[in-house]
Amino acid sequence: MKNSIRKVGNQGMVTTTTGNDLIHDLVLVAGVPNVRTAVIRKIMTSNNTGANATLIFGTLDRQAIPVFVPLLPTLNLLNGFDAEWIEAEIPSVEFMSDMTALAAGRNGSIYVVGSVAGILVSIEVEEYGA
Amino acid sequence: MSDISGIYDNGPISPVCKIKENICAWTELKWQPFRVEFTEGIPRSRPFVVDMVQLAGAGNIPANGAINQQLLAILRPAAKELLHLRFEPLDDVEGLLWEQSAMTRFNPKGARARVSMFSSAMDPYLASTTFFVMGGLGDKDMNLEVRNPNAIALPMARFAFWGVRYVLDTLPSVPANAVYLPAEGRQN
Repeated sequence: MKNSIRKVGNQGMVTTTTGNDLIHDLVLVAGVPNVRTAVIRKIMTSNNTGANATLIFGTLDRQAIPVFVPLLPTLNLLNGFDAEWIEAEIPSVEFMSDMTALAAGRNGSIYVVGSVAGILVSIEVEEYGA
Repeated sequence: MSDISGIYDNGPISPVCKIKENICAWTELKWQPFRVEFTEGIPRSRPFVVDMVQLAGAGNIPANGAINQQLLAILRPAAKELLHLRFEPLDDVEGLLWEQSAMTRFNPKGARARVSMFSSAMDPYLASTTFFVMGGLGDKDMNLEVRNPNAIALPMARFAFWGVRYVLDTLPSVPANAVYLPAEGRQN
């Protein structure tokens, strides 16, 4: 019996660009929106960019030009090191699609923003729903 | 008094009757009586796992896309045989059952249910996925359609099947003590 599915973020290993980088797209079912939510359970990073860096996980709002909404605290990455966070170290923020219009609404998919380009990021998510 | 067996009761799959007991299967637009002459289990195992992407000859199942219903040759019983099966996906896809290529199952008026990796959340033994395939009826076999709820294409869409096989002998009339089974699911 399972209440959830654990899987790698469905965009695979993402290389940051300093913009909003999609790392997990929330599941959609045609005609039945918002059937799943997702919680980040593990994060693995590698920073070989030549400088210390930061990462923020969040989602986008529903403005005409979507703006990043941070949902987890900033993570600090030392140059030349990998860094991992496991389930006990990550707040159980549930990413969910919020149909509220415009700025108050959120699309729910998981995005990551790096302070520099070239950071490698993989996540594991736990999806709930149907 | 005839009984409908507890085929959808929540629990591990088990035979609907014993050898030499009678069943009555709804198929070809009528209740047809049979005596069970032999029965055996079909364990969930590798030969009864099918990758629908491979079966369809596709490279993948597209993001938020589908593979139209495909006939599952591994589930075609011989004449006078009945398969009693349950199923679940091994990948994050959804299965829609068809019996014959155009008759939908799990299909009340409002919407059509799909079997997903979440189906076992409320139904740990997947009793609600139970279906039957009657052999020897030409194209009246099991077909499976697959939907991908993910925003990415998936290279595999595997489904596992398990259950019970019955070998049947036809009876001239419906006996009083038959177990009734919705073998074909046809409603009229």
